[in-house]
Amino acid sequence: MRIARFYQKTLFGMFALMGVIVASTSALYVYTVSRQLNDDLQKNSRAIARSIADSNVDLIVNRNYSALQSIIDQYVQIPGISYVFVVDDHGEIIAHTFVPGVPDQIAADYRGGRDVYERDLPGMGRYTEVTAGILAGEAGSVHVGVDKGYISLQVQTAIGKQVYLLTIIFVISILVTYGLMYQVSRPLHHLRNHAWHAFSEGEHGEPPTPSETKGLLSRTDEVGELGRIVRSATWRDL
Amino acid sequence: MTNLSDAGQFLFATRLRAALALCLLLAPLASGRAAAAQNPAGGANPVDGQGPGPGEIRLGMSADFTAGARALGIELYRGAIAYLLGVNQEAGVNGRKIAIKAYDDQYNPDQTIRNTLTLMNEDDVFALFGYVGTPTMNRTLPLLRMHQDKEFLLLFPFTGADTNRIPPYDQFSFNLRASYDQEAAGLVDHFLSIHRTRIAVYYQSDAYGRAGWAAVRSALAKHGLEIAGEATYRRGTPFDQSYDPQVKIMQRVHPDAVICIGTYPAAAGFIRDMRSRGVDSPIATISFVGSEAMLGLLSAAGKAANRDYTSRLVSSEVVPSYYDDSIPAAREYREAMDRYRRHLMPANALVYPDGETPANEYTPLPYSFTSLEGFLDAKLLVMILRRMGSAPKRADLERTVMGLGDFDLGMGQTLSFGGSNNRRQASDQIYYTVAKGGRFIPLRESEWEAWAK
Repeated sequence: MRIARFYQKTLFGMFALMGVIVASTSALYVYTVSRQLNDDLQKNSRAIARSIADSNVDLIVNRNYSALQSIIDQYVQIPGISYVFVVDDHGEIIAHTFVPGVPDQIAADYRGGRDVYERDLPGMGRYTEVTAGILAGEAGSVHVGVDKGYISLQVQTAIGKQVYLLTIIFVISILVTYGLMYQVSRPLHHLRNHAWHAFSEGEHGEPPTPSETKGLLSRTDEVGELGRIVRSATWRDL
Repeated sequence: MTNLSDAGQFLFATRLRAALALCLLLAPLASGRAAAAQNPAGGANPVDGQGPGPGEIRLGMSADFTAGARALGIELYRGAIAYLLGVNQEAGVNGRKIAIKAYDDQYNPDQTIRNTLTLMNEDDVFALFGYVGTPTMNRTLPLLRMHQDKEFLLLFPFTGADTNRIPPYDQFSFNLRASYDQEAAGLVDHFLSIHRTRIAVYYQSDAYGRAGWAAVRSALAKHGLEIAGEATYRRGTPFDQSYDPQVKIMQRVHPDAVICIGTYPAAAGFIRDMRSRGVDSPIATISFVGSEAMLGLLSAAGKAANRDYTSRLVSSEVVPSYYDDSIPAAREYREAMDRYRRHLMPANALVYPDGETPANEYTPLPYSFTSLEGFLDAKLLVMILRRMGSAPKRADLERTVMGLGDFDLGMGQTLSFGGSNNRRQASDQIYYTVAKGGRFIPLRESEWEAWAK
């Protein structure tokens, strides 16, 4: 099944355009979803940090560290929340969820007093750490670490699904377009055969069948008009 | 307590087996819960899903019977049943027998909550008894507070954490044992007395570990010291796993001593890897570890590797050595454990919910600190119930316990509840033991000096 050569460029152009659409849509999607997930997770983790800081002041002030640990252990079960630790008013970590221990990088700078820490922990991954002060920071702070790897995974999963869908659409589009092109270019083939056969006085090319000639000449479009012009020209010459 | 003749024992055992078999058959039909089992502790009057009858006082227990810390749950249960069997054979307490309705929580706090709700709402137990673990207890106490109109109390949980010893949850619980604060303070004081000042902590990453960590930290702070280093592990980590990451942290710290706040599989694994890598600091464990189960793992691993993994181990306990014949309760305990040895295991439906296999088979310990504690818990409970008359009411339980004052449980020390300090913890005594010859034996004060730095 062949289609006209000049349509092949059109087809290629369509494929290229489709590729650009898929690539740009995916890029925009990655950017939007990633940013949205990042924002959401950061907002949630900030809310968690705030919640721990506000609702457990008594436990922290009364040094009921066991109950405090029970509470923070529940939060790390939330997908995307990788670690939680609580710092007291002396700047000491009084509860945490790290195994086998507090990473050196965190131990070195958790007293920095920042709202957000971007961390790349060797052997663990990349994290955004948000903080919330306990009693406006007087009694310490709560730190919640969000796993950026989790966000990437979510984005990759979403993109994977989208690319899968677009690929299916792309393949179907190609097949449909190819079919349509073939339908469109078939009368041109007949015209070409008709003209080639007529102008070469039957020496070249296969003669079109009567039904093909009839179909070609009865068309009301430009192809039919061209067919009729060819027939007139060859008759006049004859 | 009446001694049973051989024939009597046989008859009793037959009846007990028949009753347990009946329980096993009826339990799924009655409640649809495969994880639950009950032991009428005497073989008579098994009940299925009904409220306490006139002939029975039912207690509710939630503990790990199938997962990584099951030796604790099973042994605590066995010790309690060893005492209750004897009591029930002698017509019970004021004519009523005592049963324990036990559920498996696999040391998982969420499951403990579900079990507790079942015990309170469906089983209508008289009191909660012998819960095992800090994270599990910590999640149970808010439930008791929520339902305080029902006046449920948690009696003698197997934990030394602070949560049920300080407000707001202290009013919902009574403790027999000393606290982790007291155990840690004792260990720290002893290590400091032999000039071991760099003390590190290895602990379970949960509420239990944090309680122990806080206890060590507080004890060191009283001497102007800080924890030299710390490493953690996840709850449920098995013995077979490598503990190299934790050992590396300890090697960096160079501790004079390590206090281990863990359960027996992870404590034994850590000790094995510490010794394998040449770290020979004294290692101390606290009462919750399950000393005998830990020692069993270490001895087997040592035998396989042709090494001694059990040297320089000290364990603090909250009950005396069961080999100490000068202590009446220890003699009584050994006698009961020997007498009822074959009848103390919880029902198979509880310990082997998916069927018994060689891989999940549990070999009961002849004696252990854990089962001794269960035995003493049950003994104290019976003492309390005897004071409550033939129709004990949950509402009267707290007043009765607080009214006990000074009492003797045969532990070689006077215990007390209530009094001017409103004591809700009966014992403050810590006992130190050391691994020697395949078992833990008492460590005398003078013997600490041998570990001096």
